[in-house]
Amino acid sequence: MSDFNITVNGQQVPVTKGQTVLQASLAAGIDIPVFCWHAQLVPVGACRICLVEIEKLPKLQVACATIASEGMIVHTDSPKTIKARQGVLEFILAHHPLDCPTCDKGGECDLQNLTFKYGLDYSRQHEPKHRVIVDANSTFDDLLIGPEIIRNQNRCIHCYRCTRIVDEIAFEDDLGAYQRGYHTEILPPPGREIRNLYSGNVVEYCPVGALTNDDWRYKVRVWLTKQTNVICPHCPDGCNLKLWTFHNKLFRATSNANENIDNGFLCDIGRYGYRYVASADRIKRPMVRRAGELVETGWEEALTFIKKQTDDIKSKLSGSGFFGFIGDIRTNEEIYAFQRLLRRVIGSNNIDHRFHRRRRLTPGEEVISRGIESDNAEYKDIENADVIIVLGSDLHSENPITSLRVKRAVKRHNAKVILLNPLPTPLGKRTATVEVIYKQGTAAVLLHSLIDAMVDLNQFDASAVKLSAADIADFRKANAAYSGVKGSEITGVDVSLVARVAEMLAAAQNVFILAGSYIERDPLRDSLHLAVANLQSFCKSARKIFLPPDSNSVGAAFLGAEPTVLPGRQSWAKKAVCEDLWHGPISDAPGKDTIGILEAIDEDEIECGFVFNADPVRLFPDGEYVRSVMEKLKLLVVIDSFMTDTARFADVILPLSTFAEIEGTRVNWEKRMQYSQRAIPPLHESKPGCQIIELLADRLGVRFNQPNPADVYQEMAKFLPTGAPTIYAGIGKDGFLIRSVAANKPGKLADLRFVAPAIDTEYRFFLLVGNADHHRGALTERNETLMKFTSEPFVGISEADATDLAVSDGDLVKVESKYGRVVGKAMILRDFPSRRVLLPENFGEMSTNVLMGRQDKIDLVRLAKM
Amino acid sequence: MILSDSAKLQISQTATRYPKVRSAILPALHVAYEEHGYLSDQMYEEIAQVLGVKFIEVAEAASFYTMFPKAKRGKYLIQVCRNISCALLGSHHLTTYLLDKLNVGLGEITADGLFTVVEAECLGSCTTAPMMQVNAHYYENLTVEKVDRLIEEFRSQK
Repeated sequence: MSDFNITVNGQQVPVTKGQTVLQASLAAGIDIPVFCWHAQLVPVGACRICLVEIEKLPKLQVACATIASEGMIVHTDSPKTIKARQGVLEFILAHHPLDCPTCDKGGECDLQNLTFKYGLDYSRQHEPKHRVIVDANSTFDDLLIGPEIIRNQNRCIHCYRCTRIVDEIAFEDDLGAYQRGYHTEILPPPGREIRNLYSGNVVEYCPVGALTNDDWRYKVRVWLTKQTNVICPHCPDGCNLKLWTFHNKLFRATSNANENIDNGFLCDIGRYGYRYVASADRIKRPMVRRAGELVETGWEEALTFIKKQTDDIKSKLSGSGFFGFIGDIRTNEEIYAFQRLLRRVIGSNNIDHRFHRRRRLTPGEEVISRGIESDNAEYKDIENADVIIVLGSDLHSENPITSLRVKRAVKRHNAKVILLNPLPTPLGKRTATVEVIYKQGTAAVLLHSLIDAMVDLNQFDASAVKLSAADIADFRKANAAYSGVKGSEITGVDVSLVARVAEMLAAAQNVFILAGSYIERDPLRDSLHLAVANLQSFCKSARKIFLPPDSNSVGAAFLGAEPTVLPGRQSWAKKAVCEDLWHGPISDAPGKDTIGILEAIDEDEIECGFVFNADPVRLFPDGEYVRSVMEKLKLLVVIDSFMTDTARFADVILPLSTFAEIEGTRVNWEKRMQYSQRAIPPLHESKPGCQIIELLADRLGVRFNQPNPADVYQEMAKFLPTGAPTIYAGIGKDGFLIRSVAANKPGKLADLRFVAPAIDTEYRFFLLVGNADHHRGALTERNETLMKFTSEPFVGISEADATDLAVSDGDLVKVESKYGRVVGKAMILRDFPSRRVLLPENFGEMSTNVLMGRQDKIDLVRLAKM
Repeated sequence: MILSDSAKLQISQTATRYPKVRSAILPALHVAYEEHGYLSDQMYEEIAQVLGVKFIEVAEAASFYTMFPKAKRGKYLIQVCRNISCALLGSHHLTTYLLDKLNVGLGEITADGLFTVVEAECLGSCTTAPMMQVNAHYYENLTVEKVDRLIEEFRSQK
């Protein structure tokens, strides 16, 4: 909705109040050149290239920082403005080295392009150019200022985009502009590097070649490359990537800005994540176990082997002797085709994607915790909230771009951020208003203390809350043991701190709750989901999101990768629809979930498994058990790109293409389905998932004739909600939001049943599992670029415990539980609570699941110096 | 800890005068400079802590200005203007004269710790050229004799 018009170059341009001349002009399709301006940054007017002529104003104005007002008559291409831009460029170029032939930015450099457009072919400046010399013996003035970032100060035009991104967007402090004029130097603070999780953005948004990336430098000229639009597979944020390829080789990833999601920023995990694709560790050819050894073979031999072995098992055990695991990072099409293979061709409903799950949950809790029944909410709703609760999540490491949206809400709308976590997280430092650390396993109690404190304040609007006074009184009475001082004793959180948070919540108009992985891992997870819903009932227009664990967990839950629900989360009553589409009957035998499957293998009821890009051996929270069970299988077919811990048990391995080599759709935490293009053809002898599944189905007796994801999608789309695109071409930049009708309705108040975790005098430490810096999940350790940031696992402990155990940073420490032990270098964490150990789950050399028992609710360990 | 408690107190009090604490960085740098005659990364860090801002913000501001040197200087910092009006009236000779007289190089400290001579860009006093600034004061319409007298005065004051 525009408020008034201004005239730009004789054209009427609508303006929303508060817009700058630049914003209004760009929106109307009138181009004004910029260097320092960026849509997501506060304008500074540093570069002067956007000078425009505004009638009745004596001098030219910078369009980026001039607020448009009614009646303005603006000229962006008058002789006066052109002359001014030439002058600005002459000054900028006065000290620019003009080393374009050896500059990586050539071909995509704003300075080059604007000089081409406006520049003069001469300069009146004859002074020697200022040069920041890094090494007197070298012609090049490149300086490595971070693990991946190279600075050439001579090319810098002082637009301060990089330092502003670090400060305004990332809330970090590892890059600054020292001195002034042509002496200005972009540098990290003394003794430090630029290595924050968003550091790659400074390169992407540098308008010249002053900041370049190590991974892209001097490898290929930009105009030779081809770009494809891909969805990042590293976390459920769903950022849009642009992959740059030349001769079918990947060279870099940049943002393919999507205002719904990432606003054009990427975390380093997403930006450098693609490098695992070309890892030397890839499985290159199919492998079959012969005489105890996995040996390379051809596809035909491998398929024949599978056919023969499965026939034997099928004649003995029928379909129920089989199971399938599929990883949450695969595309919807692969997930759908895989469950169809299991149900229709093999005749088994034993399929799951939740192989890092310890216990069974009721179906209701299950769907909530996978994020599929989160409230209908989008990124932009985070920005509209005045209070954001981050509950049980290291949001910074697990959902870096969601974390940026939270920061934006703080920066732009003064939102308050409340962290409720079992450990301090990076968001606590500059983003949070309050950071509350609760004792492991007491989150549900904390939430009830909070509700009780809110009732005490009596500030909330009863009509908005929709609860009767009697209900509330009953609820308080039933949960009296978890409030006030009693609650505080359980949670270890000060009563006054709880009161302060309650006050903020009671005053809030719009609350957004982001619940993360520590909720998933909480021993009281079932109560917690209810407690979150209870808290939601007491807040005004609150929305809750249960952040899914992996990039496509929501898609996997929605498209039938769980034993008891058919695609589209259809119940068994809708079986006929599937049978019709899949040309034949599907089994009525109820499927088993992860734990049921493992137990059935243990009892010899299941003898064959298909594991598709999943690593239960590494992730199932009982390392010893899952290893012993995998040993028992008669036939284990692993379809994967890497030799995972599970693949080591395989009888057949089929090489699988990675995200860059396939097309398909993925669903992020907003439940937004997006389409991802194929960037390069499959590497080595690997094949895309849909093709492998078609080959298997064909060999095992049913031909679907759907080797391509596009074919699978057309069938799969029949299970998507009404309005979903029926072909790929119908999926636009906004994707498609899978909306749930049941969401956004808080249920009845539920009582809490809290059982304090047993304290073990021998195993005195709680085990917390998290992510190392620049790592997420298991793929990042295959990535040489991300390994530059953190190269090995650590054992995170508090300062107090370190003193107790006489451990210093880097000492070898043994972490031991009843089940197993791991060894790692100690890392002393400041402000970390005592009696807790933090281990990263990203490194194969330190499998945290060997410390866990599947029967336990909470993981306890002991520590010793080696 | 380099900054004294009283300096820190003064800095935190100054901060209350501004709607944004960031604005107090320059006054804080002045306080630190007055106390020590130079600045260091350690001082930046302490100022950042007192004000609750980032180290980098303090470092950026301090490095932007010429009046916050990171090296120790003499008790009397003599800045001789070298821009056009002063230059036409012989500021270069004055600088050379001062350096010879004090037996010191540009930017160095005299053996007695009293003087440092540097050249400065225009100090905005062109009508009284040549001129120099010594600590916070301007000395204008300079001649060799006048400079001799001033140096004697500073020496006697110690």
